[in-house]
Amino acid sequence: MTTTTQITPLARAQLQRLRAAPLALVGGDFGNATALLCDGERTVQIPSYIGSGDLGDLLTTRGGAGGAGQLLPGEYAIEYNGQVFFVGDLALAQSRDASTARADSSRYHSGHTLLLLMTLAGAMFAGDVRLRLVTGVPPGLLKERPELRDLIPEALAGEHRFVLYDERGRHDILLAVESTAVVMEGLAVLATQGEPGKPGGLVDVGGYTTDAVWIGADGQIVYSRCGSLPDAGVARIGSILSAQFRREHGRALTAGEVDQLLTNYRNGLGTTIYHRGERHIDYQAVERAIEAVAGQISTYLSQLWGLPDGSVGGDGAYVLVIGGGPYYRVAPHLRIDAPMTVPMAPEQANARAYAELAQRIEQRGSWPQRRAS
Amino acid sequence: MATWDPVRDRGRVEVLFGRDDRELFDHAQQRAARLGLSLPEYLRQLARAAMLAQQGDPALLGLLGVQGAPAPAAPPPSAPAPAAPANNKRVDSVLDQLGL
Repeated sequence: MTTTTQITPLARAQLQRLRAAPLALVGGDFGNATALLCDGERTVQIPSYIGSGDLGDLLTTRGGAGGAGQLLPGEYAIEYNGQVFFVGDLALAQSRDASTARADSSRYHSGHTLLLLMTLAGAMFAGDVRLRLVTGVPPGLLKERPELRDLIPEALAGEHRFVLYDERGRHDILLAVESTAVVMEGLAVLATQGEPGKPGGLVDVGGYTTDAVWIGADGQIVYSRCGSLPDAGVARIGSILSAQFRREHGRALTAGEVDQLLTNYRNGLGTTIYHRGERHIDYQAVERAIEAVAGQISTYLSQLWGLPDGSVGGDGAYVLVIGGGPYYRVAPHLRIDAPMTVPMAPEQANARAYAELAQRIEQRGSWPQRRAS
Repeated sequence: MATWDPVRDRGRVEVLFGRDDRELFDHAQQRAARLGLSLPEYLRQLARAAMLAQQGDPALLGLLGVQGAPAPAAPPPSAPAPAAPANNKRVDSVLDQLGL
């Protein structure tokens, strides 16, 4: 018996589009607070928020009597499977149900991460593209749920047709995720930026979680010294200040006020909060909150990297400190007995290292194959 | 003004100062205090000044009190393309361990 397969005109057109689409080797860092995509040269970064929204209403309101308005730079909306999602800054500002799906480990394979990937790929390439992707999962989570190594590639794989709206207008995009490799977060940075032949560690002070990874002189990953500390990141600094404000004045700080506080701190300034008059939170109060978070992280590191002589990581030649934490001078407060280095653009370090790993995997021809379903 | 404290400063000052850099640490601390800056702020400005100086604008370096800084070496006219990264071996070792 002979079987013939009829290909529909739509499928043929899609196939032709895919054949013409460029291939990109990329790194994706889908964090609790921020999502980044790097192709080795460019890096695109958005807040990890996704929410529902009515784009037509928004643009009509913005356009006023003169017709339809436009999205602003950095604002993205996605139309996918008949639904519209606001992503990143737009979700934060305009969605009532905006969420980063933080603390939900299924976000990596439940569609949240795919929407972030589509937005980032659309923002970076603004057209059809085929991706081979390296991404990461925090060490603590990967230890708890090793099956994520398979679940994430399965959730992202395949062809995704969607419409991206941004300040440039509307883009009909076909994204094919050909292969995905999942590694332990931080490991790629140690592999690409660590000192070859020397033992060393990495501390990633992120938005909500701090991750730690260790690699031996022989390049062996030391799993017993890799782990994650939840609720210890830049956002924790804001929580401490907000709790203090509530104790003193009866209400918590808003997200906008916390943002302002942290931004002002980075510029060496205090902040005035308006609540039944002017309330001043000085630079030193933020510094103390940072020291508290750094102390929490140091305690965790002493459990993970502590040595019998009482030192922490003293058997390492170096420790890399990455993530958003270094912008708040967390690193100088960490009690680590090894020279610490903060790379350039520390918040992009994971995504850039993943992109480097993607290049190397391509050279080795060792991309994971999709499992037959 | 704080001086080097081996207990308090364990680890933290080694971001930029090695174990034998006590004098340098104290000197940087003094200079930061003279300018009304914290040590991290001073070092941040110094890094920015050094970068500007490399680009041919030594003004900020002067403002920070650094005198007689050597002129930056001109880059070679056409740097050869870098060879394969030296850490490929380490990257390969990690990829091997991950089965990639």
